[in-house]
Formats: sequence, structure tokens, C-alpha cells
Amino acid sequence: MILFISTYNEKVIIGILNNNKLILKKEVTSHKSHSLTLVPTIEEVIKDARITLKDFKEIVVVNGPGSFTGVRLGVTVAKTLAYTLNISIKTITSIEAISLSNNNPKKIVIVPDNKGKYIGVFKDNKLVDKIIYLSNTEYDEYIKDYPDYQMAKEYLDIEKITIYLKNINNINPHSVNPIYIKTIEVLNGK
Amino acid sequence: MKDIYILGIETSCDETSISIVKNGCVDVATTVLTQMDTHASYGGVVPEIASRMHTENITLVLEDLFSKTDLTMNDMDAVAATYAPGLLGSLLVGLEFAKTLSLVYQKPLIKVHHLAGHIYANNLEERLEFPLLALIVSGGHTELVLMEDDYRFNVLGSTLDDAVGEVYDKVAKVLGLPYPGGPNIEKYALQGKPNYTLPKSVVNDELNFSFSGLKSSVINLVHNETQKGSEINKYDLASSFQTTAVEQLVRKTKEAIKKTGSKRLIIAGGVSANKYLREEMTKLAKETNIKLSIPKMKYCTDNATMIAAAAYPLYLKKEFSTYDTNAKSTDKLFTTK
Repeated sequence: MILFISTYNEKVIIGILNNNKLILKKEVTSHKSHSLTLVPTIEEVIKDARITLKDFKEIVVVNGPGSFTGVRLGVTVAKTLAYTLNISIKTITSIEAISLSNNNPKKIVIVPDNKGKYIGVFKDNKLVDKIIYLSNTEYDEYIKDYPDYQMAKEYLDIEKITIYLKNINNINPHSVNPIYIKTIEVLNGK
Repeated sequence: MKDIYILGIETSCDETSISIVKNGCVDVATTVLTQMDTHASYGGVVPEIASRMHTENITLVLEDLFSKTDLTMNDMDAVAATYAPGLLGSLLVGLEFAKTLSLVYQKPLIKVHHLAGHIYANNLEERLEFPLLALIVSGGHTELVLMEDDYRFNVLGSTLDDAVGEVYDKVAKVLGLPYPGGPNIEKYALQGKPNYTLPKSVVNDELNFSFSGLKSSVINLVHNETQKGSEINKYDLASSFQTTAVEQLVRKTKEAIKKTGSKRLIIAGGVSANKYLREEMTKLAKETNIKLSIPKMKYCTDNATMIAAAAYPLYLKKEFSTYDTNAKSTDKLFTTK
């Protein structure tokens, strides 16, 4: 069984997969802190699925970009689970996870925050450029270069994501870390 | 009685630390990973960098800890973590890590106040005997507290303005000493003489403290001398400042001893690492015939050993925390007047 964790935006999404099928999913929107809901939701889905943590063979975590604190909590919990349960762990970026969940061959994936957007442009499921962060005005300029691309819907198809990851190698839990993309504001200008 | 082992986790600022403490008083194993060098290059702790480094290092710190002992996670009786006060993003990493360990190993979770950790660091020297008088001195605290039992705090006096550690840092800044300011004041003071006359606090407000007057007089002195074009002897000024600040701490503590008739005194908080304060308090203890406890130097700075020690009385009282516990950047262990 696989435990899926996503905390990159205002939602905590926990999924349990068995033989490529999503058997249970809980989604909690927390406007305050994921700290209030993340571990309780994991505990809840395990209870509801009548399994224990020992039944998991793999953890899949969305490691950003998105909310710094949100991603950090999800990644901290995920790597700690993988390390202590001694099971494999795989990461996927929020941008690629959204891309995999949308079928269009040419698409723009965005993850917005309060000042701008994380952006990934995809052609045939491949990133055209690397994931970038732009302010909203910079973004308006940027997408003019991609007139025939469609906007991807911010949605996660957990089954598609975990099936895609089957061909991706495990990572040592110690090396699992968030992807922030954005530089730290106080250090700009230094 | 069965031995109780508590795993403590501390990530409230720039140290990632995990420790195992037996029965609230024996340090079985501790790992402290400090980020000080990273932050020193920015002149102070950058909160976002601190949080990032905690996530990067926390499982490595756990692995290192268990390489030092034959115990395993299954031998632990509880998992404790600092939940407040501190840098919110940093606290959250340690707290979520603690919740995850608690869930995996089915051990109770205990949230610990950072300041309680500094107080219970004294339990690692000798078990606290109540009632006792505690002088709490750090970057955020200057208080005299009468403890009649575990976690029962009766505040006798507190600072009316700045905390003593805060003033150490500000004076260091005025003198142009590098980060971390407090310890550098101490270094400079060692090489100087208290030749500058600085005003003693005249607060006769019973057991309350005041440090803003002392701070202002140092700032004014530096400005005036600089304007006159004369050079400040940084070593002498650091010494003068430290002597005056510690004099106030000692004087008020002496008054508190007299007032309460207390037979035991403990010093807690980051400033308890200050050697001059330790010496002066040791003299005071001799003079007043009171039993003094000051944590070992390594337990004065942030560490998880003190968090596990502080969790022990909570474990005995079964004061466990739920998984929806949140971290807080500020939270009071006790209310001051």
C-alpha cells in the first residue's frame, strides 16, 4: 500500500492506494495551520481503512513548490514516516503532479500564492522550461509566448501520479527536501 | 519502579536537537546540530533558513542520536517537543516530527514550553526540591519566581522594560561586536575593567527589574564620546555594563531570598551561561547560605535534553497532547504581574 501526502496549498490531502487504486482519500482545507490537521488526518485515514502504518510499503509526497510552511510540514512528516518505517519514499513537484492530472498535450500549470505564481509549461507531458516563480505582472507577459497552450486545472489525480512514479527511483529519506523555487525575501539584495 | 525514558526534541531557534533522558534527570544521549555559523554570516538568525535546515537535518539528527545508545525508539515512554515560544516555522518542524514519531511508535506526545526546559535543565544536576527560588534570565525573560511544586510558578518580580539578555545584545550592537552579541560582551568584559561609571537601577519597586536606563546610558555614552572624537574602550565599557547589569540581578535575588526565606536557588535561561553571573551568584549563595543550582554550560544554550527533562513531570501527571497541537511563537508559561 502507498500513502500519498500533499500539503503544498491550503489543502491537506491524504490518500491510501492499494494495487494502483485509490481506496481512501481525505481532503481537509485548513485556513490556519496544517499543523492542526496533517497528522490527525493521517491517523484518521488509517483508522478508516482499518490498516496500520506497517501496511505501507511506500510514501509519496508532493514536495512543492507552494506554501513554504505547508510543504515543509508535509515533507517533514513524510520523510520521518519513510525513515522510521524503513519504507521507500518518492517525491513529485506540485507543478508536475498537476500536469500529470491534466490530459491536454500543451498546458500551463500554475500554483498561485499571494504575490505571484509558480509556473510550469508542458508540451507532451514534458517541462518546456524549468519551474519558475513570477509576479502576476511578469506572468501576464510570460504567457504571451504560449498562445496555444491551455491552463491546467489545479487538481491532483492521485492514481495517475503514483502510477507515473512507479518508474521513478526511491530517494533516501534523509535527502527528501522541499522545493522552494523562490529565494528567501530577506536575503534578496544581499 | 520502572525507568522512564523520554525522547525530547528542540527546534525553537537555530539548533536541531534530540535527546533521551531517563527519569527526568539522566542525560542518556543527546545530539545538538547548531546552525550558528550559517546565521552568523547574515548577522543574526534568518527564520526561513532556520526552518529549512531543521527539515533537512532532523532525521539525520535522530539517526546520530540512536548511534550513541543501545536503546531504540521502542524503549521510549513518550515523545516530547518544544511547542512555544520561538520561531514559528522552526517550532513546527520539531512538533510535526514529534507527532509522527508518536504515531509510528504509539507513544504519548508531550508538548513542552521552552522556558520550562531551561528551568528543568537544573534537574539534570540534582533533582529539584521545592519550594525553590528561580532566577530566569534570557533574551526574553528576567524574572524571580517562587516554585512550590512542579509547574507551579509564583512570580515575585519581573523586568519592567527590557530583558537582561536583550540588553546584552543591544549593547553588543552599539559597541559593534559581532553576532552573537551577548557572549561577545562577556569576552570583551573579561579583558576590561569597569572604569566607566554607569547608573545602578534605582527601581525600588520591590523585586522588579529595570534595564532600559542602563541600556540608554551606554548608548548615550558611546554617542557622546564618538561626537567628541574620543575613542571608547570597548573592553572597559563591556566590563562596566556587565558589572552593573549583574549587580542588579544579584541585589534583587538577595532581596527575594530574604523575603521568602527560601533555602534553594536555581538559575535558568540562556544568560545563565554567563560566567560572571555564575561567579557572583555562587558568592551570593555562600553569603546567604542557600543551595544554588546552575545548569552545566552545555545545558544553558538551547538543547533537547532540558526539554525531555521538563517533560518528565508532565509524563507523571499524564499531561499528554493531541495531534492537533499547534506551535506558538509566543505563549506564557506563567503570567507576570
